[in-house]
Amino acid sequence: MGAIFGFSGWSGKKNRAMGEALSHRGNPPARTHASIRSTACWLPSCSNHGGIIEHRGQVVALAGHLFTDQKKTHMASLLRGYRDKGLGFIQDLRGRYVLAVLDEDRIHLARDPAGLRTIYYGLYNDRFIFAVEPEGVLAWSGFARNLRPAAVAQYLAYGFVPGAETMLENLWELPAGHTVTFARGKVEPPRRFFFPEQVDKEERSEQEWKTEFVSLHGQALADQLPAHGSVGLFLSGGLASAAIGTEAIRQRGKKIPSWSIRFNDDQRGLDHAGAVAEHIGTDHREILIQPKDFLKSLGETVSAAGEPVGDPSSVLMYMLSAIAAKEVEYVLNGAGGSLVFGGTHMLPVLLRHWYGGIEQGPFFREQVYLSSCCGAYDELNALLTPEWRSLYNSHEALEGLLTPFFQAGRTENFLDMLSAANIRLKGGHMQLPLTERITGAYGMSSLSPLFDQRLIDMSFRMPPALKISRGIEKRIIRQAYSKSLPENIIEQSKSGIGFPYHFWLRSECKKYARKILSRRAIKRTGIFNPDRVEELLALTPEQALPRHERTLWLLMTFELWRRKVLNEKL
Amino acid sequence: MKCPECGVKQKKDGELRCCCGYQFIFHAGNAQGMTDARFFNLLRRAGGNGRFYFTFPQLYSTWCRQDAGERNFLLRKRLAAAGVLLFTLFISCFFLFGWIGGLLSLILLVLPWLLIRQYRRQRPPDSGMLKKLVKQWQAGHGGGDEMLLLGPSLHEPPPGFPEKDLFDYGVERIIIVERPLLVDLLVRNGFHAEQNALVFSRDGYPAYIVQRARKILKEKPSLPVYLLHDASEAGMAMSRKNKLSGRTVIDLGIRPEHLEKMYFLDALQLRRKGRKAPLDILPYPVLATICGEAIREKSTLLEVLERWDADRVQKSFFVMQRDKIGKKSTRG
Repeated sequence: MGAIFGFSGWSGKKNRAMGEALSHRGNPPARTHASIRSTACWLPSCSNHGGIIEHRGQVVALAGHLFTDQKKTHMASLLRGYRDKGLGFIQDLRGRYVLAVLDEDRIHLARDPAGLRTIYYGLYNDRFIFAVEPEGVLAWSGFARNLRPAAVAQYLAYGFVPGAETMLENLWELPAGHTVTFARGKVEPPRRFFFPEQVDKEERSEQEWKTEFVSLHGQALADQLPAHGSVGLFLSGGLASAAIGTEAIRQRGKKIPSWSIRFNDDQRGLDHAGAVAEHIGTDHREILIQPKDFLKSLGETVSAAGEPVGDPSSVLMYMLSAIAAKEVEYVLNGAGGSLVFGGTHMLPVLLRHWYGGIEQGPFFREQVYLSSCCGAYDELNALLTPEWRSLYNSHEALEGLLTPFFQAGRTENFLDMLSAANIRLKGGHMQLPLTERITGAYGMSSLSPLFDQRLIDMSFRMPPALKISRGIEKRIIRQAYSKSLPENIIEQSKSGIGFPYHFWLRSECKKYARKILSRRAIKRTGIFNPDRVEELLALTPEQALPRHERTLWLLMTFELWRRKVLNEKL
Repeated sequence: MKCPECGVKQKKDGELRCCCGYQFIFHAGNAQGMTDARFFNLLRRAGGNGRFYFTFPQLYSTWCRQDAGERNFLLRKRLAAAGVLLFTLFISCFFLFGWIGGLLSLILLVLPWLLIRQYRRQRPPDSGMLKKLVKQWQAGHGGGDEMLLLGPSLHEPPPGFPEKDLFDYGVERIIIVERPLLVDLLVRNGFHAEQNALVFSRDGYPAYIVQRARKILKEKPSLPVYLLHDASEAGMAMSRKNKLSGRTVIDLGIRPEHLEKMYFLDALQLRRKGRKAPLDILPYPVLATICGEAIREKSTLLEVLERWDADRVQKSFFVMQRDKIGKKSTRG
């Protein structure tokens, strides 16, 4: 937790407003330092990590945790590093952090290579404003909250807004492993400093890879685990959280509390999470989620996330966080494990290449990727009004973002291309930042050791067959933990926290969906085609595919977010 | 006649071309009462308004449901009219002839009974007729609807890709279907990708996929193989007659009696059709959802359908109870 924020120029009033907007992330008051032309603030967290330092007009502020500094972040050495090497000093940093450097008329921002922490920046009246959450930037009362037309299409297609652009105009999110500089009144294009997909493949035996994985996973966890403070675990019933739990108990040498979700009408995840908890020996609790509690938390999750939540498991995580925060300060979770080691939506994208007789245009791969994204890519033309679609370039907003990942010759194999796209887009702009903010809403720090820079690097060095082989995903994790985890967990396919869309959006949550997506409200905004939205709402279980329920979810959460940001009545 | 393109109603029924240039295919007053606008709507409904591909049996099933819906609406209208007529007669007879006249007028209650009897005796539309209509539509439109799958079209293997690893990662399961067109239906709708499965037909279509499936099965003999067949004797024989002995074979196929139970297939009157029906008589969303659920939960389609049915009955019971409670509390 903890936060940094700031802006070009000085304003005590704005300082306070930003500090108040981010106060849930640490212990106010924020400490402020200013260079000649800009201001930076640091909101301390409950741990000793992060900080702010000023010397001879140069300011360095950091939020997060550098793995080299176990007890406390040595801010003086960071400042020294900057003076010696310029911005290149961040190449030597390892950890989950965001960093701001104020130097004369320049402001540099940097985000950790994996993207475990995130930072936003915006431009308002020639001022450069930055903060660890969009709320911080939006605390500037005059900041125009204009929807970016392309972002709506992106959200519906991807389930999140990928890349540096956000839902709002003039507000950006720094991509993972990038720096950005504001100088002489202009924002320079972000520069990348972490290129894991460009490493060469290494020839080793499977046993050697397995040993390296176990060792790096252990290191990543040890680096993230706090020296002091209570730690818990979110168990999804999947392999990633099970592996993390096993390793955490081994390292801590004592029981840790764990939590999992249970639905009243769906028992699927329960068996796995319970079995894992029993096997690894956590102090486990199953939380029964009822639709009415879920609906209550939905609006709060959207507020905490600061963006529409395309994945309902974020709401479940928010509900779990409310309970877990009463007992622990840090929570381990498997976020990002699937992205790094060959999980989510890779086989579907590959399989769509297997059949002939289907027209394959120049952007076939991009289209296939988007169709497999759990969003409403195939429905966009019907969902968005022609007027709204005319406001952006559809190809640039959707397929164009993926083209750099799928260029022939970029890597040797297609699976690495998919991994790179997943890690940088889905990991860096959705899963990890969202997990961090949602657990942070209750003052907890999220620890996601499988989304570690070293493990990401290793995933591109190892043969792709160790990610997926014979239809089995995350093979390296399965092999590494085959002796520590029960066979049914090792052999099960991806489960994660499943949300019963089909039951809830068609029954208990239907009334709420109808209220949020009423024809009048939809017509007033002019973004969505009211006929299509009504058609989706009217679909009976016999007419609806799971993707239609996901589309309804995306529409509903977007509307909740839009009304909140634009201060409209819910 | 209404133009399906611009929605303008033609002044004369004999007009063959709309003012927008649309050429009509069907003529008003034909035996089936089919018009271009109705057929266009039928295609849209069968494909979920362009959301998924569909086959001829699905189109036919949609037609039956639409037809039953229209007949049901007509019956309600007639019953309402008969009710008004009966009530008027009863009142008139009562005042004219006293109680005896009123009671005699009740003999006319036979009228609604006759209407219901006639409604129940009506047969669903003829599928042969629909085939003719589709052919006529195709001929008129140079190919017909792009979402309607009329024949297998995945014979050719995909083009070569610069990366050679696309086929190296295997699949989670194999699905063997009874007819080639079912492969097209599932693949074009992306079901194979959602289920991480290779889909091919019993007779080896598409051949390049069968080759890959053989290789995959050789590498991983424990890979589950699902059979998906029509609700017919021939289909059910698939699980008995196959060359997959020693492998994990799961029969997902459906039996005629299962289809008969489905309330949304009532309009097809399957009991009268010699206890057989193609699998794709089920609307695609139902087919994809129940198959997906059966695969995920490692159960059979019958179990999934029974759960659906129980859920539906439970929910309707719950709604009834809730309404009752609501009424009671209002009275209180």
